[in-house]
Amino acid sequence: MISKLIKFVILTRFSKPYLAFLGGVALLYTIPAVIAPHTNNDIGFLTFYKYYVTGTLTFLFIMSVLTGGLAVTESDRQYLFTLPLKKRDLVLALYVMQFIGFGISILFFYGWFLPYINIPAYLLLIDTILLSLFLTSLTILATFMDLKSRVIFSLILSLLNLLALLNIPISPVIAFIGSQFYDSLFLIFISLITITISISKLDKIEFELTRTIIRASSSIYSESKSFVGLKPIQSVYKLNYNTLFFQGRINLGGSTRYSTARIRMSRMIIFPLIFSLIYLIVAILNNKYMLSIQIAINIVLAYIIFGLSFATLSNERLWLSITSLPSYIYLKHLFISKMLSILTLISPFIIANFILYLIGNTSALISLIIEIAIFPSMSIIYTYLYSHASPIQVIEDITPNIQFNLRQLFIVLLSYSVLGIVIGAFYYIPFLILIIILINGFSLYIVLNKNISMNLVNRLVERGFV
Amino acid sequence: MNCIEIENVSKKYGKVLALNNISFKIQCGDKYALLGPNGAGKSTTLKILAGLLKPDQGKVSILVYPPDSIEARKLIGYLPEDASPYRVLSVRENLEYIGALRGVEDLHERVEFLLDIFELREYEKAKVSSLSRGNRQKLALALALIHHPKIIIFDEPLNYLDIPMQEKVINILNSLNLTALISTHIMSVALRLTKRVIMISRGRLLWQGSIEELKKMGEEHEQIESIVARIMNNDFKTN
Repeated sequence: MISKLIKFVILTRFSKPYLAFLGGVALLYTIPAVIAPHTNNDIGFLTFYKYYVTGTLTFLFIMSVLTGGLAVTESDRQYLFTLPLKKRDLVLALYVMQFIGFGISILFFYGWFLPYINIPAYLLLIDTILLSLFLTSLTILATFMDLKSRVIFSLILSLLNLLALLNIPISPVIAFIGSQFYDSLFLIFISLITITISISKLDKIEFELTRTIIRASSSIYSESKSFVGLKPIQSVYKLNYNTLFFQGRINLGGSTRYSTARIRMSRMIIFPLIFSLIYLIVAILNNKYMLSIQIAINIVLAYIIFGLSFATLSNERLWLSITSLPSYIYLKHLFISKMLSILTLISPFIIANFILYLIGNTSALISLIIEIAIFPSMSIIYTYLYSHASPIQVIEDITPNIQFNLRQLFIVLLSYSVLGIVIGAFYYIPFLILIIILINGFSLYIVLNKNISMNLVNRLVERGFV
Repeated sequence: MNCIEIENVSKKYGKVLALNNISFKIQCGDKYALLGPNGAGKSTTLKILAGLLKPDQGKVSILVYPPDSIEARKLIGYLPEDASPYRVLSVRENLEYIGALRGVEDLHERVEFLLDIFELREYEKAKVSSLSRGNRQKLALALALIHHPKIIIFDEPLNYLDIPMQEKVINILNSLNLTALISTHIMSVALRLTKRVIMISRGRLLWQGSIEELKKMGEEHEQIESIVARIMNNDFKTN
């Protein structure tokens, strides 16, 4: 019975072609690592990988804790949970589904690197499974925390992750950096603890996530925004520049619930401020492999921008905004305000790179140019491309009945372009100039072209946006 | 003078034909119920009139303006079915934001008035995500009326409302001197809010006229729901 339930839950989340495709990709990544393992002595690459894995894992940890909870869909709530099934079986099925979801995310972030990172295949397999279980357990534990505890917990985990950069072994990330079994000990230790606690709490999970969220967080906004006296365009900027909207999903492969949250820019900027300061200190203390570090940081930043770009449309209400202002005017200012907010969000890194450039680090200048001249405009392009996939409008605080399919995966795979863009821009100045021209030209075209805005709205409404 | 005019409009979603060369006119001041079976094309018609969807062919006018023009946007108050306001804003923030986008001059007073009339005062700072479905519908109605529209295009406006609030909304809408096109499945709602009917099925106009004319089409003591059902069923049988 339980196996049928697990199969049912998995197939309601992921289409068979999607799973088959990812299974094929997983084999493609892992078979070379098993059949022909080879030692990689490229210090530049390994340094880049070290910062990349630390950054992306920190991002995954933070998102798992902040948006934690089992991915329960509307159909689950209305139909599956009314069936005469044991609650423990249900939760276990959802746990397994979530584990697979995180497995997909890990594959997405690290698959490309697996054959090249000097970790024995058996150890890599253990580490990947443990990491996926650890992330799943984190989302379960987060369900029992209020927002303040989640923020503190995610900060502690982030700091533990960052210890890996100093080769201190009490970090879960060290398992993916070191090549010996003892490097995995901390991940094994922390995973066993979280898995044990989370499984012991499975019975206590409330399925009515909406109510859990409402109870866990206040239903009242402590700080109110006022728009009285503002002109229409000023209102768009006041809302969309000063506030960052988040939705939990897409990049995590279905492993988080759908939820939206707003965070003021003045609070959110604390995170890049802390990380840019650490980056600056590391760069000043040891700048031998700065280029690799900068490439890694910029790729992580680009992934975050990719995620934020999705939330732009998911939180929009076309029946209100587009019936108030013409689509080309509203979308133009919405996109520009989001672009400026991303520029502000990454500004601590821009300043850090500027300081590094002043003290003689030439690659910091390229990093700075990428962050100013590519990333903000890229957010507009990502938002536009996302409208061509199967965009999801967040209406309720639960995961809608959506099955991940190849069409969506295609858009997620587009984010791989980030790797090429960032690496290419660092190594070839003509490529950097070409990319700046192309990305800014295309984003300008999107923003200024009336027909593009109107077609975008039409397409979204046809796909069920209201 | 016609406030709403649809002329030979067709709309496809992929291979599915939602509207098939449909035409109708609504004179300014008239209040129409838009009736039709599930999948008749009612919501698509309303979305086209609200300027959210482009027809594949045909002409649509709001007064004399295209529906996506600034002039038409000022005239129209649109409420979709299962309307969801911005969930990342509070009740008051939603009203102020949309009021500001629409350039409402007396915005502060208007927001206060709408909070009171729709009994949303106690929820003004509440996150929309925490509201009950009924309170969300009240907010959606307030948002659709915030700019003093002259034409309302509403899809099931009384959904989720409790009976006292349904009565209140009926009274509010009837007290306003508006042109209205209201899509509903419930004949009693149509009878309370409108005087005339547009009936569509499978994307085509079936019938247009007054409720009195509709009643005359039935037998003595025949319920109006029965007459409407007969017209719709006949359409299915003959096609």
